[in-house]
Amino acid sequence: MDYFYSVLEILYVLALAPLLAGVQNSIEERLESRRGPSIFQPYYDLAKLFRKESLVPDVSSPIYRLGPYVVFMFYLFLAMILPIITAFPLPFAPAADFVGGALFFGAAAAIKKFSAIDSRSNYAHLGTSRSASLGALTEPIMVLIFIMLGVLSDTNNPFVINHVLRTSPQWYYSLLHGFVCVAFFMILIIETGQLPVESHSNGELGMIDQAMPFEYTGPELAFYKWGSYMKAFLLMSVFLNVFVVPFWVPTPEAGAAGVGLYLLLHLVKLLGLVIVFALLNTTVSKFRLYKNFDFLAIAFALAFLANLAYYVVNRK
Amino acid sequence: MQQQLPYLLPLFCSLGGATLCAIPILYMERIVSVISSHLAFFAAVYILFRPDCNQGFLHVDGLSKLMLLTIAMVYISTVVYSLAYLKHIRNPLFQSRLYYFLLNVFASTMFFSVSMDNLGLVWVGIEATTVSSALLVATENDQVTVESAWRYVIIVSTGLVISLIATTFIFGSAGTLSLRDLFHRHPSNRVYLIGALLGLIGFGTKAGIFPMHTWLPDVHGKAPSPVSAIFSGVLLPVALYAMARVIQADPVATVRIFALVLGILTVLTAALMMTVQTNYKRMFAYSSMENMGMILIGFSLGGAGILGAVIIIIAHGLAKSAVFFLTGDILGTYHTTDMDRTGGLLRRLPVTACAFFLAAMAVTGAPPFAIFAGEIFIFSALIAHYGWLLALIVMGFLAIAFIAVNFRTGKMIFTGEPAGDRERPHIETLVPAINLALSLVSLLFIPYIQQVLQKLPVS
Amino acid sequence: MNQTFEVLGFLLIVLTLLMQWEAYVTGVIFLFALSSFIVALFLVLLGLSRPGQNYLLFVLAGLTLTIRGLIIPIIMNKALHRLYEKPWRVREDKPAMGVGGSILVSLALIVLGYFIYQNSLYEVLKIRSGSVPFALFLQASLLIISRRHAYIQMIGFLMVENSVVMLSGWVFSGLPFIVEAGAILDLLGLVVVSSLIIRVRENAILQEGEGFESELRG
Repeated sequence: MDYFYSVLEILYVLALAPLLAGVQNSIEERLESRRGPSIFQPYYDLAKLFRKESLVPDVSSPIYRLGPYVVFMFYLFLAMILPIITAFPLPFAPAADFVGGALFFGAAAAIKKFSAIDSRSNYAHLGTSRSASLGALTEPIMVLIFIMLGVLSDTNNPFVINHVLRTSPQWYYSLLHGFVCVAFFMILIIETGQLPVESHSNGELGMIDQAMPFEYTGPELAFYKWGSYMKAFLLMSVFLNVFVVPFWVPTPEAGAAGVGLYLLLHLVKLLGLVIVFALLNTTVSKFRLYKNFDFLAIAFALAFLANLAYYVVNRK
Repeated sequence: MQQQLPYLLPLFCSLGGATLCAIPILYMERIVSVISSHLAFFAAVYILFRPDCNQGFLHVDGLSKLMLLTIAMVYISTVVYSLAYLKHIRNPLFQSRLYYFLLNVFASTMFFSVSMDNLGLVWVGIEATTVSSALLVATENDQVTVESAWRYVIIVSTGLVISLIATTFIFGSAGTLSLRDLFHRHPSNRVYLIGALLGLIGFGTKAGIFPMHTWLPDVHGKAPSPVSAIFSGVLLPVALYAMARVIQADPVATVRIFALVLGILTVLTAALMMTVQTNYKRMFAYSSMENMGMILIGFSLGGAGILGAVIIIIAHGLAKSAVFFLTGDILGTYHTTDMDRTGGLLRRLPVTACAFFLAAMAVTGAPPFAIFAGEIFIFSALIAHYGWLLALIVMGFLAIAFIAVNFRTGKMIFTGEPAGDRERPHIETLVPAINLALSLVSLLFIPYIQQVLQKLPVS
Repeated sequence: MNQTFEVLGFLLIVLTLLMQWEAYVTGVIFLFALSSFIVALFLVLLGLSRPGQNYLLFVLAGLTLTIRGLIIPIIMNKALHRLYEKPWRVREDKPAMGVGGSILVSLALIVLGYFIYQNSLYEVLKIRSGSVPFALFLQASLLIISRRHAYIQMIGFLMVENSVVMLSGWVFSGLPFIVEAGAILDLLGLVVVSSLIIRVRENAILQEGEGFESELRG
């Protein structure tokens, strides 16, 4: 049964990740009083890209070709080990704990950067260097957040953290948890490329992640995009299931019906977060590139305050 | 309440003067200010002959009485001098009515600060002096003056917040802020001690004591002369009064040594900074700082030190206000505060030059003046407590300050070619001359001061 | 009750951090008004937790709300509107310290406040999270030092005052009512006076540029 859940989880992430992007885009357009494309537009885009031929720059090496597939594979693997549709570990979950998961995300990002550099395009290099300098500063914040979650639950296991936050209100309503949530939300904004940091327009002045796959075409670009959707989906699921709304995630007692019901419920949760992002994207204006580091400093400060709040408040 | 009212008379006089300044009649504000300052002075003299008051909101003992008297004297001379000086201000920020209003309020806040029993209210009063005097500093509307006024506001208020925290500490540990209770009850816990130390640092900001003195030369260098005079003459001592009360409230060795170290560092900084000044008003600002350092040393030692400190407060208040009045005179004639361009003072303004020479001698502690006597008392206490070596070091810095100030004023007076013809003595030279004479005469009253101070709870 | 105070205290710390981040003066003024509301709420809670003297604490909370939370921000906004053509675009253009750096220093100061408190006062006072108002005090002082714009420096000073209210109510038994009330009145006077001074100063800087460095040195 657990193996079935694992397969289900992968299929769930694979199938619904583009939908999330489509829904967000559609809501944003509606908020700006435009009709906008259908919520299934990302699927059409992917289908179109899969039908096209792929072109490879002469100067590139095999890394360029393999990159998108490897990254896609990494995200598939992460889909198996994170708590997305169940609150109990599935068969592959012991492969990595929370820090391990973060390392896989980091590895996927690194491979992305290598393949982008390998395209030898100026725009891709620009995006890579920006992404790398932001990433170098987000990593320590992630580590601080995981340390604080470790303090809170005595483990690094996302399932246990989910359990602790779900069952003990004194942790759920603690300052530590609040600060960690806000800090992770800010990281999420950076990682999923939402507005105060990165806009979805095509102007290259503010491009960060979007600039990286400039040279990709055809199925490679499709995999690349699909991987990005999956990354956003995974991170948002983790944010919801582990940090903010650890409730209603099915435990083993809930049975197959519970898990089935949660598949829908999770979409509702994600929809809430997507609405928040859409509101953010339509109301906030973009920072200048160098102001992003101030944003990161605030995120770091909040993660650090979580640490401090623990020592100040919980000192015996 | 009936018995407390006479002690509030100076406060009421100056406040009443401030209120009447609002009446829109020509010259009303000047007449009212002169009258109210004289009334305040007579009230202060009257209080001097009344017994100590120790009830209700008031705590008026010997130290407070002498402070009231000093404030009243400098207040009178400032008002009278302002009558003549204000015409030199070419681009005033506001009209003279507001100037006199603020001056009266400023005096009343100082009267308030030195007669309150509650340490928190003393703090409120000293903060109120900042509020009322900030605009006075910026009377002359030019960029540098306004900038110095802004620095004054922000540095001094932030420093004073430290002493508000100190007040909180003291209240938290002693359960009261009443000075008469604090003098008899010295809780020996750490919170109270930290409160006292923070109080010294906080009030020290306002008094121009070492680590946060940076606003002082800026303000004195750019404020109009009467304002510089009242700042140097009484505002700094009022803040020192609060420091003295803090020391009295917790007279343990740590607090005393801390105050002593702050005082010595102040003297040291001031003496060294004085040697490199080119602006005569800034130089005398550092001289005030040096005197404040000496007074703080005196308060920290107790006994003869306190006597010496109070003598310096009175004599320095009069003499330093005289100095700043005279610098106003020079500034009004030469239109510059640069020492190199004010040569030949003796030939251009002979009376002013003579008074300036004597006043500079007085504020640096030359023998016939009372500041010298005060320093003698302080040094005797210093030697008795800490031995010769420390006293010699402090004396060395005093000597540096003495040479720096008098060499430069001598150069201004005797050398250089005057830029203009000899002028008739200005009428405003009279005020500093009287102040200077009073400062000299205060030497005769030392036994009386000692008698007034005898009932202080610290010796 | 102490837990509620902790939440409010950390909220104030975060607000001060946001002030370090915020470049626009109107934004900083708004954040200050917010922090004053939090302080007023704190005083109300303090009054509820102390049955004896709560009447005066409620009065104080009301004073804080009206003067610190409404009147002072309004005065500063008015002054801003009178001084600049586009007041919403006024911002810190040459801070003494970059935003990221000042936030890091601010964090270091919070830690410093914690260590100082734990090592010196905790044994005497026995209040679990008493370091928070100290940290707030240090942070607000940093705001004064790290910014050059006069309005933001003024706000920093007002934040320092807020932290003292927090400190006196939380760690100690509060100050006597008359002292607190006097402090608030002083504050009001100071804001009125300094907004006048700031206006003259900014006008001069707008017209002549900054030229005072040589005269105010040494």
